[in-house]
Amino acid sequence: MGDGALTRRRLLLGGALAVALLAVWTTAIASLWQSSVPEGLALPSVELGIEEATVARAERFEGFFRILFLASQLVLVAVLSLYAWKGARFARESAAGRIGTGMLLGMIGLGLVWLAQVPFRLVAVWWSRRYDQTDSGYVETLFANWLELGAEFLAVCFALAVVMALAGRFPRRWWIAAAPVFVAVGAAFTFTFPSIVQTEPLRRPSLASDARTYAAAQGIDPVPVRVEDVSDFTKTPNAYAVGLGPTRTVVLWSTLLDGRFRDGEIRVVLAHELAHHSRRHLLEGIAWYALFALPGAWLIALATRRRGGMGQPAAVPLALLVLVVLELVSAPVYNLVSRNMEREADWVALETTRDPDAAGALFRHFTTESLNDPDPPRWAYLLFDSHPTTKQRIALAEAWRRAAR
Amino acid sequence: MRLRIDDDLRRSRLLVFFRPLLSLPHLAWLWAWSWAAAAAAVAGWVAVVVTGSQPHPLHRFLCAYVRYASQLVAFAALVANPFPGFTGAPGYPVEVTTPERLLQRRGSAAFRALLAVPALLLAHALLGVLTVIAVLAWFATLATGRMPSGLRDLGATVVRYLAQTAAYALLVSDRYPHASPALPRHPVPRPLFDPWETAR
Repeated sequence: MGDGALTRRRLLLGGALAVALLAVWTTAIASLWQSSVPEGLALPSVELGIEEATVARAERFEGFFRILFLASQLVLVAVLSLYAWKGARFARESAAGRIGTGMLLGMIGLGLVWLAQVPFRLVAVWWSRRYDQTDSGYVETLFANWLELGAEFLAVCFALAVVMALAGRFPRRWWIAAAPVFVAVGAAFTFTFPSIVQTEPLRRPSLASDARTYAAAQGIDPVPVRVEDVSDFTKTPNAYAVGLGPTRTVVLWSTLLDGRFRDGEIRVVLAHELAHHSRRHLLEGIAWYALFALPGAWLIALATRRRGGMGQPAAVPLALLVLVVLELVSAPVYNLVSRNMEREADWVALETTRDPDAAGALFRHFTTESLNDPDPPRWAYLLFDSHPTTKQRIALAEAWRRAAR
Repeated sequence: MRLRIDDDLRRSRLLVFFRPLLSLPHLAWLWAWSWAAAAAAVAGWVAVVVTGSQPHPLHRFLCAYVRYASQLVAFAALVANPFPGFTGAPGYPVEVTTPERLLQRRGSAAFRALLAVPALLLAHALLGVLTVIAVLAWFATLATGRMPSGLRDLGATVVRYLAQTAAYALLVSDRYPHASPALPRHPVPRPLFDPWETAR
């Protein structure tokens, strides 16, 4: 067989493999996208029922944050571009080997990212204080996240140790092995997160009892409900679902239980968070991550080849830039996926509580208390919002009411 | 144990600013390594009490641990500049030379945990001194880009004492740590009858 025939055969095989992978990828996306919200559900036009002055205040509050975020991302990309260009020179500050030096460059990059974000973080606190959304001080803001930053430094070291060890062994194919490792780490993090975050038990027996009833109604075993005290740094109400299998937990922020929200509204929150567990949104999140981790790692491998590949420390600053740009570019996709899950959780919560009035009141309350812009501009919605807008959520509650009649 | 300093006092401000955070992966690694070192020290203790010397692999392992820990302490306290490696390999600008494997006095080895207590207490106090040195040096180095030589030398002396204490407690050496900044007299090596070599 001649060289030309061999090359043709390789190309054909490669092409067939790529098509097969793309088919699996697309099928997985279609499967993950499915939702229990009725297909083709039309959202009715609704009145917000919020004072115009409050809406205007929320628009001003969030509008500023959008500009601040865009500016911070521009600065971030500029700083990392500079670092990708000049950062490899920091390798001379290292007496560690190839991987150790890569870790050092990764940590310096992370440090620069942190430094570049400090002014924006301070401005964010200033703006939040103006709108009475936080009592945090400026110095406190600077030093409050050191523990978190330390964990990020350790995480970046671990990630680089894995990638650079694999790239040293498989210079061109490391990304195939690295992606599953990171998915496994992500799953392990989701599993263990409830034991990391500091919480206390919910001391409201009636709500705890409702949570058990709702879990049964959604077809899952009871899920522990815990409370996280966040009153020191924010007044914003929030809740989230964490854990997998035996570690599944619903966490309510203390700001949700400080008397501003009625029990009916808190019940909607409980049902919504339980829906994330009953509809396996956390597992789905890991699956989505897996779908994007492989092409993401491949793109990083491709981009860093001219610097000798990820096995070389000099490639690390460039890899950081590529990673951040990929994150920025994929943010609208992430938000789209997240909104789909949140919409389903809202729907399941309505099915569980059968209380659209409480749901509507809760969503309105988010605007009056947290100053969520109820109907943001389309571009901002697509770029930034991980949840449906307040207006959409109120309309969904109304749609459920009409469908239930 | 001797201290070798090959440091030009120059420091990168960025590395200095993030020094505590840059030390974190090393601290995590040291924590993991310390468990293994503790197990190795127990095995080494039994070997020294029975035969008078540590087996080669244990001695090498514990020497690497002592070197690594001293490199990390030197880095974290700004006594040295470059980011150290994770294996304790020789060649760091501020480095303790680990002792040869010598025959040790069995009686001293048997009661090593007890005998090491005064040195460990002093080491603990000196660690506090080193922390003060590190804080002062952090501000001075951020301002000037250079480590004050006095602080560096004082810090290096503390690093040496800590390394000596670790080596003594882990039975890498049977020389008692000395806190004097002056260099000690050379130890007189005792002839080594090596049961581990003979057994091969």
